[in-house]
Amino acid sequence: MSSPSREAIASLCAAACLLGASAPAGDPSQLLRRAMDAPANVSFVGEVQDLEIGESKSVVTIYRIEHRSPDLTQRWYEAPQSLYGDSVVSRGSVSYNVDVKRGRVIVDRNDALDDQVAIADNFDLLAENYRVFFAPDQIVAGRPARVLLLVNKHTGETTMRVWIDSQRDLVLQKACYAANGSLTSQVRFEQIRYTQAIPQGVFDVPSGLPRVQGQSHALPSNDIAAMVKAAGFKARGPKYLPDGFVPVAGDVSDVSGVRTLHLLYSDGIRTASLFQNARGVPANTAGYVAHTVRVGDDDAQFVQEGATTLLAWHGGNGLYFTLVGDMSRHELIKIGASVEP
Amino acid sequence: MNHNSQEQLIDYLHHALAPEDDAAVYAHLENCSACRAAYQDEAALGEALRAQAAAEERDMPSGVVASIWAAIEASQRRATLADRLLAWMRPAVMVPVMAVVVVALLLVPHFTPSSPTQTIDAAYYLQAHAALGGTMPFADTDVVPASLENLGQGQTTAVAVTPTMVTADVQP
Repeated sequence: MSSPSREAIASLCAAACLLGASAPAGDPSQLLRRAMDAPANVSFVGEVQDLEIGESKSVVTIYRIEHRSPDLTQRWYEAPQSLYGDSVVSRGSVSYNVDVKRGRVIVDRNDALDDQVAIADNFDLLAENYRVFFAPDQIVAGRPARVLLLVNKHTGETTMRVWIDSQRDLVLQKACYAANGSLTSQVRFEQIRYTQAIPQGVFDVPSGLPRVQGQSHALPSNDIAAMVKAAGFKARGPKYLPDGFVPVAGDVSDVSGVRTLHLLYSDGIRTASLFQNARGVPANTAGYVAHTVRVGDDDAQFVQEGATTLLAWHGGNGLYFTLVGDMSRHELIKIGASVEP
Repeated sequence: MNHNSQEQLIDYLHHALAPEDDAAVYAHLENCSACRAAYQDEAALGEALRAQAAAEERDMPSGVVASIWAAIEASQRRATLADRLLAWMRPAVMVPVMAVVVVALLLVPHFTPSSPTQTIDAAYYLQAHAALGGTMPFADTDVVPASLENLGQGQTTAVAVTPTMVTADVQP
C-alpha cells in the first residue's frame, strides 16, 4: 500500500483547518434557547416572506411586520398595505384582525401564547428529541446569521434549519423539511431594521370599526387524562405516533354547540392535533380541495392547506375525528388508522 | 410642523390623494428630511416588491390563464343551456307538473326533506391546531398569524415550486 503524498497530507490539513474555521464556536442549544427569548428583547420592522409548499400547489406571501419589545406588541399586514389593507395587531394573547373589506375588527384570544411554563416545557421536549448542530454561517436580509440544524434523534433526519441573527439572537429564517428531505415550508426576513422608534400609532386598532368576537382559545391543560374526562364522552386516542411524539396539551370547547375534545401531540417541533366529537358532526371541507382516502376501514376526507394536512372521518359509535398536522398524507393516515378506544 | 402619516405617504406614492392633499404632501416632503426618508423607505419597499415579483415570475402561467378562460366560456355555455331549460318551464308545462308534485308530497309526508346536517368548518380545525401549537417555541406551524392569512384569502400568490428535494443537504 503506498503512503499518502505530502501534498495529499497538506491538503487534508488545509481542509481540516478550513472546516475548523467555519464551525462556529459556542453551544448551539443555548443559542436556540436565546433565540426563543429574543422577541422579548428586540424591536424591529421588517418584511417577511412566507412560503408553504403543498402537494398540488405552493403559496408565497409577503408580509410586513412591526414588532415592539418587551410587551410583544405586533402588527402584521400583507405588503403592500396600501393595496391590501387588512392587518393583525396582537398584544399578548389578544389579536385584533382588521378586516377592511367587511369593515370590522375580529377579536381573537389565545391564552396559550402567554403560557410561558408550557413553552419552556416544550423546549425541553425539543431538546429530548433533537440534536442541534451548527452549520456554516450565512447572511440573511443583510444580517450575519448563525445557522442551526435540528436533527431528529430517532430518524437522523434534518427536520428544521434555523438562521439566527449573530448579534440579536432573533430568528431570521426558518425552514422545515419532510422525512424525504424536501422543503415543506420556509419563513424568512427579506428586510429587517432593528429600531425602538416605532410610533405607538402603528399599533392602534382602528376605532371606527365594529368589533366582532372571533375565536377564543382558553389556556390549554397538560393534564391529558383530565381533559379526556372533561370531554364527557368515551374518547379515543392514536395507538401509533411518530417517534418522540407525546401528548402535550388538550382542551375541550364547544364549537357551534358541539362539545369537541382537542388533543395536541408533538415531538417538540412537529405537531399533530386530534379533534373528536361524539355527535358525529362532520368537518365541512367545502372551501378546500378535498380528496377521499381510506383510513383503516373508513372513508375519510383529506385536505392539504399549504404545508398543513387535514384528515376527517366518521370513526363509528357516533364519533367524528379530525386530524390536523404538518406532515405527509401517508403519515397522517397512519396515525388516523391507529385511533382506537 | 405636522409630519405626514404613513398612510398619507403610501397614498401619495400611489397617486391616490386629492390634488390639494397631494400638493401639501409634496411641499412638506421638500422641507422635511424625516418624512422624505420615510417616503423613500416606502418607495424602496415598493421597488423591492416589484423586483421580487419580476424575479420570481409570479405572473400566472399562460396555461392557468387559458384554463380560467376555458372555465368562463364553459360557464357561459351552461348559461345558454339554462336559458333553454327555462324556455321549457312555461306555465303550460309547469302547472301540471307542480300539481303532480304537490299531490305526491301530500300522499308521502315521510319523504319531506330533513333540515340540513350540521357541520364544523374545516378552517376551525386548522386555526385551533395553529393556536394550540403556539406553545411550541419552534413548532412547524406557521409563524404568520393564521387569522391574517384568512383575512387575506385571494391575495396570496401561487408559485411554481414543486415539492421536490430542495435542501436539507448539510448533515453534521
